Amino acid sequence: MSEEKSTSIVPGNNELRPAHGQTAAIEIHDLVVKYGSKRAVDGLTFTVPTGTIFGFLGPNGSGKTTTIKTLLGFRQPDGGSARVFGYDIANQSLQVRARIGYVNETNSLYDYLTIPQLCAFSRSLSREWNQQVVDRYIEVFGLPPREKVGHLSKGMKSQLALCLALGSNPDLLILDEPTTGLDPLARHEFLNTLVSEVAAEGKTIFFSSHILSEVEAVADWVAIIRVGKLVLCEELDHLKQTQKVIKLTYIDLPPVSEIERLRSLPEVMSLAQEGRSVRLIAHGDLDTLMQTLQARPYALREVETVDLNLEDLFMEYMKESNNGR
Amino acid sequence: MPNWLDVNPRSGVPIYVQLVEQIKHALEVGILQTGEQLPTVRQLASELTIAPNTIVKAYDELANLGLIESRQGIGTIVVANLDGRLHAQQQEALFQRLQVLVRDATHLGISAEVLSDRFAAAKKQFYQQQYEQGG
Amino acid sequence: MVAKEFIEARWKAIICCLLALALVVVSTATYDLFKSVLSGTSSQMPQFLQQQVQQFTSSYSLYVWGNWFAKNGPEIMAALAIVLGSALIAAEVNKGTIFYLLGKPISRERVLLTKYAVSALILFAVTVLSSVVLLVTSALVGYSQPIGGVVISTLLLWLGVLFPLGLALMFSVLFKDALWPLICALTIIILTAIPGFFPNWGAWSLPGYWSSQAAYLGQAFPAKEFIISLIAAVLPLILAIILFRRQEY
Repeated sequence: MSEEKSTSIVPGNNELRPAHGQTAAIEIHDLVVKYGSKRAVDGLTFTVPTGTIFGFLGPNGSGKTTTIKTLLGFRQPDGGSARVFGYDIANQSLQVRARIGYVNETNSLYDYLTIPQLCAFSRSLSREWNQQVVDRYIEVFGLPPREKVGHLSKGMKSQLALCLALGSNPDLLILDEPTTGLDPLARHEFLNTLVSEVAAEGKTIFFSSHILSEVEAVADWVAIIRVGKLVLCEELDHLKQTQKVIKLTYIDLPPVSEIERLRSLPEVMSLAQEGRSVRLIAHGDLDTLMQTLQARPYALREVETVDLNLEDLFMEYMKESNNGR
Repeated sequence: MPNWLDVNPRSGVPIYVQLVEQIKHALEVGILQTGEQLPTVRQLASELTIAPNTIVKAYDELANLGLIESRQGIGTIVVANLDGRLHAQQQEALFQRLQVLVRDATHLGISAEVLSDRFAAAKKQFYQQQYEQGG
Repeated sequence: MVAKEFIEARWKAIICCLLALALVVVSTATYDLFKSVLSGTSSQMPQFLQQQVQQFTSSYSLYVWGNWFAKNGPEIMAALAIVLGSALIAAEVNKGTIFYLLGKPISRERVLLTKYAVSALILFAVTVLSSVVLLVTSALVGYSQPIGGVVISTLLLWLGVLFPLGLALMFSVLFKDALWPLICALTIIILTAIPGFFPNWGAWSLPGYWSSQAAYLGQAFPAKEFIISLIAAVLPLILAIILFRRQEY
C-alpha cells in the first residue's frame, strides 16, 4: 500500500489547483504566549502544509484560541516565532492578514448593519474583494440577502462569516471552532461548503475544534495540543494506520520479565495487563512489532489488532499515564 | 452519484482505505464496469463531506493498482477489468486465513486427525453441492 | 469603513444635534423675555451675582455668547464627544466585533484614526449646524450676530471639544465596555473645569479656552486659545494610538 504521500495530484487531473509555491501555509516554531505569568502556549512547534485541511484539536483551555489569536496579530508572542506563507506574524502582520480569511466562534458581526452594508464594510477593509463569490455562497447557504445581521440566527451568522471570509480570496482560512452552536444540518452544510468548495480550490484550511467527529471526517492532518504543548501532529490516515490496540492473550500467565520486555519494545506506547490478557497501544512499525510478538517465547493463544479512531486516539493521548513517549 | 459508497469517518480504518476497498468491491461484483466514469474528486467530496485530498489519495491508490486511469478532459475512468488479479488476491487472502485457522487449532489443542476429519466433512458438504448444481 | 462608523453613531449624533439646536434656539430667542423677568427680581439677588447678570444681559451678543459658546455649547458638545469617544473601541470589544475588525489587513493606526476622524466630523457638523441656526434665529429676532465672530467661535469650540473626544478614545482603548471610559473622561473634564468657578483661577480651566468673548465680539484673534486647544486635542490622540498599538486581545 502506498504510504507517506501528502498532497498529490492524480496525473491529468486538473480539478485541483497546483500546490502553492510555498509548501507550508503555517510554520510555528517554539511559540510561547503568556497571560501574565501563565504560559498558555508553551514551546509549540508544528507546520501546516499548503492545500490541506488541518484540524487543530485540544481540550478547552489548551491554548488553541491563543495560538490562533497570535497568528492573527491580536497578541504578540512572548517567545519563538511563526510564519504564514513565509511572512513573520510579529513583524509582517498586515501581509499575513491579507492572505487569511478568519472565522471565529463567537461570530460577532455588526448587528446593526444589513448584509449588503456588511459586505461593503468588509470590502473596504480588504486588499482584494470578489462580491460574486460572497453572493454565491450566501445563496448556497440560503441566507436572506438583504437582512439585518442582528436578525440572523447564530448558525446563519457563522455561515455569513464564512461567506465574508471567502470574499477576499484568501489562500488560508483560519476557523476557530466555527460550528459551535450550529444545528446538525447547518453544521453539515458548513463543512460541506468547506470541503467541496474551499478545499477543492486548493486553499488551505486550518480549523480548531473539539468536535472530534467532524475533524475526523474532513481533516487530512491533525495536531493535538495540551496545556500549550504539542502532543502530536500527523496525517490522520497515517495516524490511524500506525497506531493500534493489540490485545494479547497468553496461554499461561506471563512472568514480569515478559511484561517488562514488552514494555521496552520501541513500538509499544503503553501497556495494561490483567492476568493473561495484555492490552498494548502500539505506534510505528506495526509489521515489525507483529513479527516480534509472534516470536514470543511465551505462547500466545490470540493476538488481536483493533483499529483506533480519532476519539480513541485522542483519549489515549489525553491520559496522564503514558510511557513518556 | 454512487449510492453504494458508504464511508464511516469514525472508523479506525482510514477513509481513503475504505474508499479503495469499496471501489474494488464494486468492480468485483460488477456495479462498476470497465469504461465507466467515476465521480470527480470535487463531486465526491461534496457528496460524502470528506476532504478532497482523501479522495485523491484513494484514486491514486486505485490508479497504482491499475484499476482506474485519469484522462485529460474526460475524468477518471475504470480501466480494463482485473477480475483475474482481484480473484488471485482473494484466493491468497483465503489461504492466509487457512494458515491462521490451522495455527489456532493447534493452540486450542485440536489434533491433526480431528482437524482433517472436519475439513473433509466441510469439503464434502460444499463441493458436493457444487457437483449437484452441475459444476 | 467610514460609512459603518457613521451608521453606528447615527442615533447619538441625531439626539445630541436636536438637543443642541433646541438650546441654541432658547439662547437666541429668549433675550428679551429673560431681561424682563430679571429686572423684576434682580433686587433679591446677592451682590456678585447681580453684577454678573448685569454684564450678562447688557447686550444681546453677550447674552447669546454667554449662553451658547461659553456654557451650553461646550457642555453639550463635550458630552457628545465623550459619548462618541468612549464607545469607539470599547463597544467593539464588548460586542466581540473587534476580532472581526482586527483580523482584516488593516493597521491599528488606521482603525483608530478613521474612527476618530468620523467622530470629529460628526462633532464638526453639529457645531456648525448649531452656529448656522444661531445666526438664522438671531437675525429673525432682529439681533444679527457678527459672522466673523461666530465662525471663529465655532472653530474654537470644535477644536476645544476634540480634547474630550481624544480623552474618551484613550480610555476606550483601555476598557472592555463603554461605561468606564465615559466615567473617566467625564470626571477628568469636570476636574479641568473646576478652576473656572474660582474668581482668580480662570486661567487654569481648560474648557475656558474653548470660547473667547473678545473673539466673538471681533475684538481680538484668540491665538492662545487655539494653540492650547490644538495641543490638548492632539495629546490624548497620540496616547490613544500608542496604547492601542500595544493592546492585546
